[in-house]
Amino acid sequence: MAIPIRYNLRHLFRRWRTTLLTSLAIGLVVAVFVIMLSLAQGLSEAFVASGDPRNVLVMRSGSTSETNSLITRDQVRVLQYLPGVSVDAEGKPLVSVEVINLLNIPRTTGGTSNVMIRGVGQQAFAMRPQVQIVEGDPFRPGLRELVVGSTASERFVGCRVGQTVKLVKSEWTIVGRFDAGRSAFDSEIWGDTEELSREFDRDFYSTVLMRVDDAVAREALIGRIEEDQQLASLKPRTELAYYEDQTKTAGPLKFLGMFLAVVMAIGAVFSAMNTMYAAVAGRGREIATLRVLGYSRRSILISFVIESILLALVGGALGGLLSLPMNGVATGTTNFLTFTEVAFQFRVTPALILGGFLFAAVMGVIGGFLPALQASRRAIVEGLRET
Amino acid sequence: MTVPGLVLRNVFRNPRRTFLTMISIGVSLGLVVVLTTIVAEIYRPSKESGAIPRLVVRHRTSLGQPLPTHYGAKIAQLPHVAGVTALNWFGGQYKDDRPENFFARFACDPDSFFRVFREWKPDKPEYLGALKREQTACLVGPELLRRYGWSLGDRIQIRGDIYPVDLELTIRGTFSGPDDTWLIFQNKYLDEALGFPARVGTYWVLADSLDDVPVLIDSIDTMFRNSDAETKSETEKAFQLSFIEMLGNIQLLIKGIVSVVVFAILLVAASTMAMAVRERTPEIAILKTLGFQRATILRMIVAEGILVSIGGGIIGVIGVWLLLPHPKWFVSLAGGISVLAATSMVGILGGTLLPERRAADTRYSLFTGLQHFVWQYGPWISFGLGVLTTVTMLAALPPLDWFAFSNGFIQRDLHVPTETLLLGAGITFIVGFYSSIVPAWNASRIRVVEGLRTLG
Repeated sequence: MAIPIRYNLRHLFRRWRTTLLTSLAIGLVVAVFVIMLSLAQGLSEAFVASGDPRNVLVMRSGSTSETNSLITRDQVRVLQYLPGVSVDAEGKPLVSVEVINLLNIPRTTGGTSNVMIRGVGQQAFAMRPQVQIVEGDPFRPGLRELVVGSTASERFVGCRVGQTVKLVKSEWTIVGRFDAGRSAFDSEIWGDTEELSREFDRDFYSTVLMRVDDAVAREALIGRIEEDQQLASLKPRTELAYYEDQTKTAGPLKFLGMFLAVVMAIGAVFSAMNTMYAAVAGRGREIATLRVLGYSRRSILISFVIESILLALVGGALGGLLSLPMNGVATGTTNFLTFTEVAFQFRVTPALILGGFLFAAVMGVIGGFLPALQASRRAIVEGLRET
Repeated sequence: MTVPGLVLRNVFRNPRRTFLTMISIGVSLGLVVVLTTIVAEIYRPSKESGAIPRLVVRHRTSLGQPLPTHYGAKIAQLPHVAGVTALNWFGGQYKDDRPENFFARFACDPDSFFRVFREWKPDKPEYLGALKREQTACLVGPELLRRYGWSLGDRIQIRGDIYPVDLELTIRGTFSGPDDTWLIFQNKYLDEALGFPARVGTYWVLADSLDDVPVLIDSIDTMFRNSDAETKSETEKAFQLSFIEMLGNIQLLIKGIVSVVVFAILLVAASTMAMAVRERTPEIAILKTLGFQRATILRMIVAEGILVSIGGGIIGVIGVWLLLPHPKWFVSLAGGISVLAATSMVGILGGTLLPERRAADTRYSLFTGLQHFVWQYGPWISFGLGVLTTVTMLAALPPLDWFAFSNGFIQRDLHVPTETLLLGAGITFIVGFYSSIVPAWNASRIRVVEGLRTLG
């Protein structure tokens, strides 16, 4: 026979001050857990939103990121005319030859960071449909014009539409701003590949992006690139796979979040234990009465574990509430693979909140067990004798 | 009995509660100490380099743009320049891209490197000669020899990632300085392997004195203004800080976490003190009848709070101070605690979810016997298994250092700085005081009649 949960709830309400103090301690642990993981989540989402499985990204095979990839002009000529690449409405192949450079620039929030200057071909916008010009115009090929990602425009000094920015030798005008749906492109600045190669004195291109129709065409294209003797130094992969690889940047954040949560949880569990021991100590007579009424030792045990879980779940709810305001807060870090800044947002997802509740429940079980065991083992006579 | 004696008695009146609270405070305070130590370690290089009058010159656009080779000679002609050397960050991969195989690799100019990095020295003078003579020679920090089990004369391969060339280097010696995990080799080797005109990533300039640095920064940048390759010069300290800044606002993040942890400690301590005072209401009323002043009672309870907090502080701060230089102990204890937590979870779920043996049921099977055993001794079994795990791990694990444990993130062994110990002590007192002040205030205002009435 089980003791009704209402019994536990009433007790928690009666001792509301202790309940609040203890569950707030648990809530803080849950909040740290959720917030740290939401940081990692936001960073991963920014990368995953960038890649498209229909785009094949060709890079130098030893390079770890687009920043340090090199493709020669001859190789680009071979790549451009490979069969199996999708075409647009006018019959032009969907290929973007890109050149990546870095610009060290002050952040509006202080300090400096590297922003990625991506030289792209005209098809780049068609191949990355999440990138939409929302202010001004697209850059015109052959001119020193740039379009800037929304986040980059906010985070870096002098990157508003209409302003000019000095790259290497000359001033470039920012003619437009694009929104890239919270992907990593939002932190970038785009311009014309050829013009940017001249500005940065680059003899090589960085990457070539090619669109295919479906998985079969993709495998065929990747196979052709891998077999071609002239392209032996290159390695093709899907754009999605490349950006998924970048999500390992979020690894240390995840590790830090877990580490903090587990260590803080030890403290919170002991606090819950204290509270539950006090609850058990103050209720000797009640427990004995329950036993006399016919509730088994195990019902008592379960009931107190449940009470502890409820206490912890209040903490879980408080923690979830505390972490919610962080949702959507913008921040940034440097992706040390590309050596450029990537801006992202804290993403408090329902799954993370649920994880927080689960974590709280585990704390409740561990913290409540020993006191509950003590409660269930009390001799009835002793309990009844208590005041 | 004296008043301090009474306070001490009260601290240990409910030893289990005091112990749990102390551990709770201790673990959290230990976390604060670990976090602040790691932040101090991250900022250490930029702090230490502040005393040397050295500056870094790079391309204004970014570190990705190289500077022409003739800039070095031009900078050397400026007044108050004691030395100039070119340094290229090679990057690359040793074996693979795992963080534990990451260390700094620079292409340097052997003729001028040690003149500018004057606090660095080849461990034997002939090592420098070897580096100058042999194109594929390299010098490494002694820590790298230890870490990878290299010895002099070994050949190592570094795969290029920033540069499209692989290096075949021969270890010809060691060199020591503030960081014992660098590898340096000849600039010339890189230039020839690449096959295009030599370029320079950064120039490092030693000034005559710290006072000359600001002027020098200005005159270098002015000299190259409006050229094809404009420069940005900054002190070595600023250069290193800019890398930390790139990671994002670490200090804000860690400070935020530390304040949340301190607040959590405060809550735990406050709830303990509230419990302690509540169950003692009649006793305090008696103390008052005996003529104890309000202020005395207030002080007694605050003293009790501070004592409990200090107990926790000693466990946490001293524990971390002792453990931090020994990551093996750290890992083993963590393993033991994990086993304790996991087995308790299994025991709890098993004990509560499995069907109960009815008193009338006298048949004893192996299963019910086991169940009974676990029921009776479960917590001790868990505890025993936890201790066993810790001891086994201590005995079986190879020696660990923080470098391996942190995946290469922390480059040397950690030690708790004195400031951090003081910070821990400060937090201990603040927590002790603020957690007990409200319960103490309430206790001091208990009215004798009402207090005695609860005696029942």
